[in-house]
Amino acid sequence: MNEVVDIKELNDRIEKESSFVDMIKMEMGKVIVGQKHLVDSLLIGLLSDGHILLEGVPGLAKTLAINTLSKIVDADFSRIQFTPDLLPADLIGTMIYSQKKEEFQVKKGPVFTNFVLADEINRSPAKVQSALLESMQERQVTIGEETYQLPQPFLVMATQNPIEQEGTYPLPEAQVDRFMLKVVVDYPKLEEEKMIVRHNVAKSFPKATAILKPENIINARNVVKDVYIDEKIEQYILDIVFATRFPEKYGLEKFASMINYGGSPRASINLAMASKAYAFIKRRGYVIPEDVRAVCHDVLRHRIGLSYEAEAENITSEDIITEILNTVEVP
Amino acid sequence: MVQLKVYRLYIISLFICVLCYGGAIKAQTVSVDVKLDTTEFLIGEQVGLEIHVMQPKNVSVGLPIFKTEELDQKDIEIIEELTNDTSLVDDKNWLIKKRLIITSFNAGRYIFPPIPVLYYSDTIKSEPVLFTVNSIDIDTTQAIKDIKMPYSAPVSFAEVMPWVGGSVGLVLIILVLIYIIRKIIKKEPIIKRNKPKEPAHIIALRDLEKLKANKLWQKDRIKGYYTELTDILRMYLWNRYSIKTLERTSDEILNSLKKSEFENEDLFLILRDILKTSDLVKFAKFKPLANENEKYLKESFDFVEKTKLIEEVLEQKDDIASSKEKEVEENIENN
Repeated sequence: MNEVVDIKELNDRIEKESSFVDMIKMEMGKVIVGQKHLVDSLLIGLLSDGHILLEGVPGLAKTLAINTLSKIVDADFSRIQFTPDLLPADLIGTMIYSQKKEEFQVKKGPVFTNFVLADEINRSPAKVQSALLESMQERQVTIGEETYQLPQPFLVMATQNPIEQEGTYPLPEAQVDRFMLKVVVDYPKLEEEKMIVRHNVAKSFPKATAILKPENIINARNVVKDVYIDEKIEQYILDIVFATRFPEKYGLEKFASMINYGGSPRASINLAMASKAYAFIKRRGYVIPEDVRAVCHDVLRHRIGLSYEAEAENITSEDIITEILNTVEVP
Repeated sequence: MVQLKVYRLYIISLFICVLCYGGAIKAQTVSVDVKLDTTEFLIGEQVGLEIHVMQPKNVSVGLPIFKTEELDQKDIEIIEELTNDTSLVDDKNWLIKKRLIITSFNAGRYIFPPIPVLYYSDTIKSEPVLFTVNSIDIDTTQAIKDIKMPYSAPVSFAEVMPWVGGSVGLVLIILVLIYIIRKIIKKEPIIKRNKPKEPAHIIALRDLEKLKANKLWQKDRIKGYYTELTDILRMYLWNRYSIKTLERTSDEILNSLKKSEFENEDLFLILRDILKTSDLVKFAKFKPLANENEKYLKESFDFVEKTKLIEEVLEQKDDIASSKEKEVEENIENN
């Protein structure tokens, strides 16, 4: 009936390649009750080769989620508890002298894995944070004189506790920008929590089974890159990011004094990448404005610097993003 | 002999006691001094009169009540009585300072009467104070001038503001009441809904005609054609149903339309079809067939026409109702 260009072929390919997404969600759903947004965000990060900063109070299945994902993908997983006395060497590894061989040998750190859970990243000093963030960015680690590639896929999920801020080392803006998404994890709903209680009381924890190999994820990433993003959507993304920098140009004069700095070019790139991954999760071969809007809060909330005035008036980056989405014209 | 000695001893002891008692009395002396700031002042001028009462620490004294009516001298007026200022002069004595402000409105020589201070059952009085109240010298060589009115203080903004605000508020309330009464008399709605200068469907139909005339899809500008088509429909929905459509996605627009109690299911499905296909064309390089392009344009015309009719019917209903009311009114008047 309709004359279809190559988008049809792409759509079919993505329909076929993304079939594992539903399986992953199903397996995750066996272990994680609720937290659908968290699971979606993990998949977006995994498929678009980005890292995730999670913010939420303890006990919201953050560790369980990434642990389950690693089991489903049949990948290695390590959890690093960030503490004030942690050293970069504890993270990336160090050279150890072997008396038997009479030479220095490399002892690789826990960062050499597919999935890393950096628990309470803001409890460690800046040098440890930057060691992790550098390895996140470069996908490689230098120990001594040797540079070692990190395994692929490599996904870091760092957590921050929004309470108990005393004695913490808040991540600098430049470092936070390296995280593709900042996901705010909320409490489960009443029915969901009822299920969680039942599982725990009965001690009958369902187990996820491995349904994928890490190579499948790497292949899927290449497919995600092919998801079509139209020029109009690109313009929409740029309008949103530019509205965080120059709100007055988009009829948001009230925010001009409330934003110290807006989203960086990395914000535009990540918004486009996350939108593609979201379209892939929805098993579509092209990005629509709904995809951009779905990931916009997670991509931008940690990239908007608020002024003292905004804090005084209790305006959050969430409010600003919502207002921008309600103001910028959708193509 | 022994009796004489005892008698002498008794006399000596009595003498010593009397001496000691007299000394004690002397030690507990209370004194009152009265002093005027000046003994000569102009008529009506206010002058301070200071009363100093020196008293031992262990003695309590009573000062009189200072009132003009209490004075024998009726031409002297006590304007103000200031509070007592008590200070310790030495280890044994207090000094109480009392200040009065007095004046007189009659020229002449006056005596401020002695001030009595109660001390146990006794009363100590101060010395009377003599003073002169002078009249103002009149230059009789000059012509007589009219009495000058008292100076008026400048009126501040804060004093005027409540009156101005109150007046403006009162005027506004009167105007609103007049407006409401006139509307009630004319039987018109008090709050009139603002309508666009042109009805939404007129604008939409004109824009759709223009789109048709431009023949965009025939010129292979399919994306531009669908972009304009959806823009016209979104503007129409905005004007017609007051839904913010320009900042919303297709799904959000459809959800908002559902919430606004859009009841025609067929028209809703037509709109959904147009918006979804337009999204595919705009964002997924989709190219509908020629007959589909025409179909969506025709459906857009239909959508506007059919939703316009609902509004017209409402307007017609309103018109019929108002014409009937007028007819009834005319009949009443004729009868």
